[in-house]
Amino acid sequence: VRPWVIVTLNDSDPMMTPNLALDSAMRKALTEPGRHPVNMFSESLDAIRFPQGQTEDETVALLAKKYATTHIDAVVAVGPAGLDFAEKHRSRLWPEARILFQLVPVEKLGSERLSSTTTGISVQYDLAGTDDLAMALRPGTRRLVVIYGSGDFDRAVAAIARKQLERLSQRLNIEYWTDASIDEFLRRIGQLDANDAVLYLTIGRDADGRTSVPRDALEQLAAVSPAPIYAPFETYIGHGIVAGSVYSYEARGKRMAELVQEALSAPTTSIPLVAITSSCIADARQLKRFGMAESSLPPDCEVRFREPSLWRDHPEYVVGGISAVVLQSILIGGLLVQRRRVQTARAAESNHRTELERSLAFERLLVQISSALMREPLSDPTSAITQALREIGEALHAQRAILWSLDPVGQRAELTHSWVADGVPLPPGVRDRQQLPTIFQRMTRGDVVAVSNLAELPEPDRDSLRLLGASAILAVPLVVDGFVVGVLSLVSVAEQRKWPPELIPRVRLVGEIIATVLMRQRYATKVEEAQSETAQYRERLAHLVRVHTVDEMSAAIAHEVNQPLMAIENYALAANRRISSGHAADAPKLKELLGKIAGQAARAGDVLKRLRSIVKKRESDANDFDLGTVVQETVNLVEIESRLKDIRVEVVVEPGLSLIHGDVVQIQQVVLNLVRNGVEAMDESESIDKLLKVEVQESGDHRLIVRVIDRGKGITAADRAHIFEPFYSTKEGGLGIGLAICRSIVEAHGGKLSYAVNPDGGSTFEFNLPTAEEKIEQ
Amino acid sequence: MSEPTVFIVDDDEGVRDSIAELVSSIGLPAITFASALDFLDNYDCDRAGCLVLDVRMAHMSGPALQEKLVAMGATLPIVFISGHGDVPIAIKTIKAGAVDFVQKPYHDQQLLDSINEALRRDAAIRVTKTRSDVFGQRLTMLSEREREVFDLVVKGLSSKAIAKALAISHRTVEVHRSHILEKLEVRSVPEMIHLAGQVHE
Repeated sequence: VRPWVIVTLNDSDPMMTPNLALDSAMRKALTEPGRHPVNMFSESLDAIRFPQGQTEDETVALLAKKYATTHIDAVVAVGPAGLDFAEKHRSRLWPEARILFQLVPVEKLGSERLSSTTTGISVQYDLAGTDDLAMALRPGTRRLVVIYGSGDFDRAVAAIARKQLERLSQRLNIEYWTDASIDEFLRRIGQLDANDAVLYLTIGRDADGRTSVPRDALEQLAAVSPAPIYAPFETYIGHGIVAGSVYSYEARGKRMAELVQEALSAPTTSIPLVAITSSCIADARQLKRFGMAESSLPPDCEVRFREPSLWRDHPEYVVGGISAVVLQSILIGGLLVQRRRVQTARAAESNHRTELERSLAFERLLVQISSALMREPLSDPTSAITQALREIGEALHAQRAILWSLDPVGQRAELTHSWVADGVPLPPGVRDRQQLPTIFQRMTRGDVVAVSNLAELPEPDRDSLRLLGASAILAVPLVVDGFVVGVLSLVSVAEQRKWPPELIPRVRLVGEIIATVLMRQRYATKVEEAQSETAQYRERLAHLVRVHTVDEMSAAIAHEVNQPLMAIENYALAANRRISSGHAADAPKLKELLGKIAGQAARAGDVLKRLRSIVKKRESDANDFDLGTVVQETVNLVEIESRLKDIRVEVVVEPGLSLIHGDVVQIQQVVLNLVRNGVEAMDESESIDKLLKVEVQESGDHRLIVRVIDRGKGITAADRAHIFEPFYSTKEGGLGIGLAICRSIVEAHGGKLSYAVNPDGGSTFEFNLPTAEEKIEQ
Repeated sequence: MSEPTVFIVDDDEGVRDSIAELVSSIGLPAITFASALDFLDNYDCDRAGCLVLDVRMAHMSGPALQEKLVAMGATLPIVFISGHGDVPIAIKTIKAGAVDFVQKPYHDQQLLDSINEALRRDAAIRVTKTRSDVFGQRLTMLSEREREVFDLVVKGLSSKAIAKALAISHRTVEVHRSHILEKLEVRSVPEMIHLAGQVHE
C-alpha cells in the first residue's frame, strides 16, 4: 500500500503550544494501528512574525523543488495564511492534493471562495462567550479592555473581536489597546483596578517590532494586572487567565485526523465544513486570586488546578528557571516542621511515633532525591531517574516503580523509566484506556489512585491489574504546565498493602520533579537542535554570499593573480636568455632569478589561499582569535580592488586588544562586506582624497568595536530604514542579503551591528563583539 | 650621447623588476619607476631609450603619462602593457604615437620585439635630430648675402630668378651657391632643401 503523503503547512511557529497540541493529536490518531499508512511532512510560513509576502516567491520555489518528485495527497493548512497560501499555489505545488484547513476563523471563510475539494475545521473564537463569563464572575464589571499586538495575525484576531463584541457595547465600556510596546502595555495594565476586566487576544509582535510568543506576553501582563484577564484560547489556561470559552486543541487535532481519513478515502467527494463548539475552562488559582466563586461559573465549566499542591501553588519555582535551592529549602523547611512534631509527639502517644518517623525518613529521602535530580546539568538523567524510582519504591515497600508518559488525549500510557525489585518481572510497556478505564479516568482528571486491595476496583481494571501481577497500586498523575503528562506508579506484587496517605502528596512531588527534569531535558534538546539548525542555515547562506562576493571581485582577483604570473614568465625568460647567450657561468644571477620566481609563485599562492578560506564549504567553527589581524587581512583582500579605484584604506588597530571567540571566516565576511560597501560608496563619490578608515578598539565594557567610516555620498533617508532587511538592495544586481547576513552573524556572536550618518558626510557602520572572556561569563 | 636605456613604469613591484631583468638579460640597461609621477620627476629628455608603461596605475594612468609627455614635446617611444583587452584605450594610445600595446599574457618574444622596435625608432628620431641640429649650426656660418641666396634657393627659385631678385649677375649667384653647399657640407641642392625643412620650425 502506498502511504498517504500529508504535508502540514503552519502559518505560525510550529513549536508553539497550540500547534504542537494540534499536530501531536492528529498524528497520534492517524497512526493508530490498522489505519492507512501515512508519511507526514511539516512546513511553516511563520506569517505571524514575518510580514506576509516577504519571502513568498522563495518559499514557493523551495517547496516546488523539495516536493518535485513527491505526490502529495493532502495539505493540512493551519491558520488563515496557511489556507491562503495552500489555495493560491495549489496548481504549482500540490495540484492533486486535498486541502484541509484548521484554525481558520468563520469570519474569514464567509468571504472566501474555496475549491470544491477544500474543506476543514473552522474556528469561531467565542469572544462574547468569554466576556459573558467575565460578567458572570464579576457582575460589577464596567470597563472591558481588549489588548492585542501590532502583527498581521494580532490585527486579524482583533478585527473578529470588534465584530463580536459589538453586542456588548451597550452594557460595557469597551477600550481597545494596541500599538504599544510590551513595556507600555505593562505600565498601563498596572493602572487598572479590580472593577475592570481584560480580554487578552494575542501579542505576536509589539509596536517596537519585537516578536513574542503571545502566551509569554500574557504571563508578563498577568503578573502585574490588578484586573482579571480573560481569553479565548485553551493554551492560555494556566498562564494567568481566569477563564475562557475555548476550544480543545486535542479535540481539533483528532477531528482533523478523521477529516483526513474521510477526504482521502473518497478523494473527489466534497465534504462540508466542520464546526467544533467551545467549552468553558477556568483556573482555580486565578479565581482564588480575585476572590471569585466557582459557583458563579456555568455548571459544565471545567476547573483546572483545583487541588492544592506545592507544584501548583508555586509553579514558578519548578517550571520556570527551576531553582533547586528554593525547592530544597521548602523541603528542608518541611523537614524541620516534622522534626518539631516528632519532639512534641514523643511526649504523646508512642503509636504515632512510627508514622512520624516514617514520615521524617521519607522527607529526608525526598530532599536527597530532589537534590540529585535538580543538579545542573544532569549528565545522565536516565540513571538518575531510575535511581530515584528505586529509592522511592524501596521506601514505600513496593516492588515496581514505573514512570509512564501519557498521550495528550489520555488514551495510552507508555513506560519511560522503571525500577523493579530483584526477581520481579517487568510488565509490558504500554497501557490502554480500555484495559484500565477507571484508573485512566481518575488519573486524567488529576486525581491520585491509591488502591490497597484490588477488590476496591471495578471491572475491567481489577482483572487487568491482576493479570499484570499487581496486588496493590499507587498511581500518581504528573501535572506539568496544567496538563497531565504522565503517571508515576508504585506496585506491590506479593501482598495487599495500605499506602500511607500523608506520603501521597510527597510522592506526587517527586513525580512532578522527575517530570520536570524530563520536560526540561526535552526542551533543552529542542532548543539545542533549533540553535544548531539555525547556525547551519546561517553558515549556508553566509557561504552563498561569500561566493557571490568573490564572483563580484573576480576581475580584480584575476588581475591580482596575473601580476605574479607575468613576473614569473619574465624572470624565467630572462634566465633562459642568460643561459642560451653563454652567461651560464653567472650562477649567482641565475640563482637570484630563481629566487624571485619562487617569491612571485608564493605571492600568487597567497592570493588563492586568502580566497580559498572564503569560498570553501565548511562547518561553522568557533575559536579564539585576534580581531585586529583578521580586520587587517580582510582589508588586504579588499585592497586588490580598492587600489585600482584610487581609494586608500587606512586600518587603525588599538594595541593590546583582547581576543574574540567565534567563527573567524564569518567575522571576516562581515568586515569584507562592510569595507567593500565603503569602497563602493567612495568610488561613486566625487571627492578627491578617497580615504576609507577602519578602526578597531576595545571599549570599557569588554567589547571590541569595529568602525568602517567612509566619505561616500551616504545612504538616503528612505533606504536607511531598510538596509538591514533581507532582499533589499540599493545596488543594481545586488543580492540584498549582505547586510542582513552581517547583522545575523554579529548577533549570533553576541554583538550588534549599527549604522550612523557622519556629521561631515558619508556613513559609519559599526559592530561590536564581546571579548572571549566576557563571552564565557555569559 | 648616453647608451639607450629602457625605462619601466609599473606600480607592481614584481612586474617592473621582472621586466627589468628581462631587458638586462639581452644586455640593455633598465631603470624602473613605481609611478608615473616618479618617472616625471626623474626623467631627463635628452636620454635615449624607450618607455615600457603599464596602463592601469593609481594616481596617474599610463595613457595620462603619455599625454603629458606629448605635451612636453618628449619623443620617447612608448610600449604599453595591459592586463585587460581594452580596445578603445589601445587605439587611443597607438594614435597618440605608442609603438605597441602588448596584452598580458604575451609570448616570450613579443615584449622584447616591441622594446627593440621602440629603441630603433628612438635612435632614428635622434639621428635625424642630430643631423638637423648640425645643419642649423652650419647655417649661422653663412654670410649675409649667402643667407639671402640660401633662403631663395630653399623657396625653389631658379638661379636666374634669384639673380633678378637680388639684382646681381647670374654668375655671382652660381658662385654663392657653390660656397653655400660647401659651407653646409651637403652634396646637392635637394639634400639641402630636405635638411632645411627639418630645421625650420
